[in-house]
Amino acid sequence: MNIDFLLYIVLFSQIMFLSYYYPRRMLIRIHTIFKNYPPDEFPKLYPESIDKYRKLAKRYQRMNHLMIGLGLGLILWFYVTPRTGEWDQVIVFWYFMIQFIPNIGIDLWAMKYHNAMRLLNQDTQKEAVLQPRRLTDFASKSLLGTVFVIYVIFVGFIAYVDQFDYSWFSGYLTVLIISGTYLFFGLIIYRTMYGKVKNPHQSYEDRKIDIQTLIRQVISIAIAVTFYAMLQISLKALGIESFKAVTISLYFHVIGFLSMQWPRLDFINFDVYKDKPDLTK
Amino acid sequence: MIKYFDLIYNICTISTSSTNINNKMRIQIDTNLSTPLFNQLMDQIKKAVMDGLLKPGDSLPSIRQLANDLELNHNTVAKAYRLLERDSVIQTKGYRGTSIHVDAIQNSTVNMNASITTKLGKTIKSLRKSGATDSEIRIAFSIMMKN
Repeated sequence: MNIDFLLYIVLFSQIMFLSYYYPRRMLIRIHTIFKNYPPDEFPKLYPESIDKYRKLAKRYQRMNHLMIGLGLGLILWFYVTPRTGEWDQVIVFWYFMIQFIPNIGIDLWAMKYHNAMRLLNQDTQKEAVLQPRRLTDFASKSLLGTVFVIYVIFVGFIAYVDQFDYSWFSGYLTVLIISGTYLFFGLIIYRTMYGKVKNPHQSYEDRKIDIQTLIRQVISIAIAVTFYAMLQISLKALGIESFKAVTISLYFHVIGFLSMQWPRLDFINFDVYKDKPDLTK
Repeated sequence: MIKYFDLIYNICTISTSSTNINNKMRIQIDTNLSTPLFNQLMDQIKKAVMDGLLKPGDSLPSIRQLANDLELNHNTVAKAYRLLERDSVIQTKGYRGTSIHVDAIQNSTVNMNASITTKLGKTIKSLRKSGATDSEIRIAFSIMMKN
């Protein structure tokens, strides 16, 4: 199969997965909540008007449609433009960055949403569980051990490649970058476990599930990042760089799948959103 | 294509049905009550010890975790922990965190405020008996408190 043709297929799959399938699942989730948990019964779930949230959901959908158009345009451009393939990987990377903007928008919206919830919260009673949270409560020791082993393998791999004195190889700087990424992920986990409560109404059980989901996502992404770094170095060392654009696109598929793990709606306790906040009474 | 993605999604999705944390002891504070927040915390921890919900050696959350969970200032929780440690209800072992003291059950019954009130009451009574006026006692008390 022609490498260009393979890139078109993988890139098309990336477009459909991240700008159609992923948002579709997100929107189904949002609209299911709107339908099954309406504002008159669950007022605490809607610190602002439901119409505003409907508009935001619509905007999210439109932005993703725009990303699909942009992606298909990119494939067409790849098809009609004679190119060496040298910049393909960079172009696919930047397309992904743009493609993910609607999801960043959703995250920012979630932050504003929780802030509004906190502002409206008039509950004077606060509850906590007198039990320390530990990383092993949320991620199994075998999973944590796996990340550690993969990191050690990665350092060993860099040490091995380093002896060939490739001019392009940045050596232990790669280890530093990956270590920095791990550190950043560690900070995210720490903040999630011990940071401030985002949703003031959320039950402790639901919060635990949220923490667990995020920790497992972050750990899986850390593993994916490490494997991807090794794969990229291997491709360059073996002289098959033409596959780089395909592999980066496949890597974004993996990141998308890992980011798409939301707690099941039927496991969430929505009863906590039933009482009307005092300010809106 | 959607079915294909659904299949992969179902394979890749991590089950988030439950976590392996057991809910042991819940603490509840009310910001509307006149009782200071650190006192509410102390009383509830002591009560949990006396009721057997917290046993000697049981770990307690860190100050940061508890303060953030209860949306309180860290100093409030730190003060409650400090006073509970003074009363030997809890003990702090550096990086190993805070846990319930071995003698917590006996020590939880001790009410420091009541004990201070009783002792001061007795002293004031004996001073009055010896002829000291209330203003003299007050002045002496404030001097002693300043030292």
